[in-house]
Amino acid sequence: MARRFSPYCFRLNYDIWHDYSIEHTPKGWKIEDPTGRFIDSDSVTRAFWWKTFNVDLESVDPMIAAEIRYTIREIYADTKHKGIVRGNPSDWHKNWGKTAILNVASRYLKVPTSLVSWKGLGITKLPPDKVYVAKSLDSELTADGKALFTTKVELSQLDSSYPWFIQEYIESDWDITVQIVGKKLFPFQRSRKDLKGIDWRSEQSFRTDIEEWEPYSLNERDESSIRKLVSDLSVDFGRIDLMIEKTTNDLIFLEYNANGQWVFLDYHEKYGILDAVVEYIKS
Amino acid sequence: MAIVPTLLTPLILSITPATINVPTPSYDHASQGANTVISQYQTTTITANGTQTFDFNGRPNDADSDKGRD
Repeated sequence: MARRFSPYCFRLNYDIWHDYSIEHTPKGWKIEDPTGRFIDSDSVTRAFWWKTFNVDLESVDPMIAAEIRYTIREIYADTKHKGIVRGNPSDWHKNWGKTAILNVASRYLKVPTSLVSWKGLGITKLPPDKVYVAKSLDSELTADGKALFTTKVELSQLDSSYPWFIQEYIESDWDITVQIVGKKLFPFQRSRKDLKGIDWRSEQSFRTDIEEWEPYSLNERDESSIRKLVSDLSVDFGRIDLMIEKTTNDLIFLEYNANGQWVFLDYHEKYGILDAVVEYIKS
Repeated sequence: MAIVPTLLTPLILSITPATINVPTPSYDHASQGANTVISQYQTTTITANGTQTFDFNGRPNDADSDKGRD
């Protein structure tokens, strides 16, 4: 994407923070890379924040890492004050969590029965004739580097001394995902029909011809519902995940990701997502 | 003696993410991109109730992974 904006783009990478020089005073800021390329508070016209702190600076003391993030956030905040930010800030979900978004989505789309439960409160209210999955709210790893992937569970087997995010399991042959770029929607689908159970530990292949997703056409009603949802959330970027329920063919809303990945949908640039993102940032 | 079944906890359900071994692309400041060819790998995994994307280390990589750390 940086090449599309070249030579007017400045890319600041958190994980190689030590390559950059920064001067930041109450009157303004300047960032310079090793090539001498720079950007400053007078020349900046747009800012796009992309998974900036999604890596840990493992060799950096946490205090120093916090200092680094602080400065980057201040510079980003300056661009927000200038009204030149596109996309969503990295902490957008601090103000809009999963349950709040599900609530908004339920105005326009079907949503799965969902519950966050501490000490088991609310679990007995869940319809007993449904199947449930446990999901992670924050996608944080455990202390030994493990992740809670969405897993089918029996409610009676859950240790209520832990917090749980439980959701009704959706039987589906199709994943749907919709990338929102400004006023444009890019819906895609992926078949789950050949899935061998829900074992996610598939072999990762190192290929260049993978196209897991194909374009999907939203009907008028579903498109309208999605547009109303993003309007209510006051966003114009991000990715919505849905499924088509097997028995009813209804579109079921699952999640909105303010900074969800999107390149994977159109890796070979066949469907115009990158072009749309570039135009969106420029707009 | 009755056997008390172990109740499930989020930690028990958590598993080691799949990782892939690819050379870490090196960043080139001149082009502001990677200076090695990056081949695509399967970035999404079919899980129940959602689409999840992962980084090279198998770490979930969607919005909620962004750490505001305020």
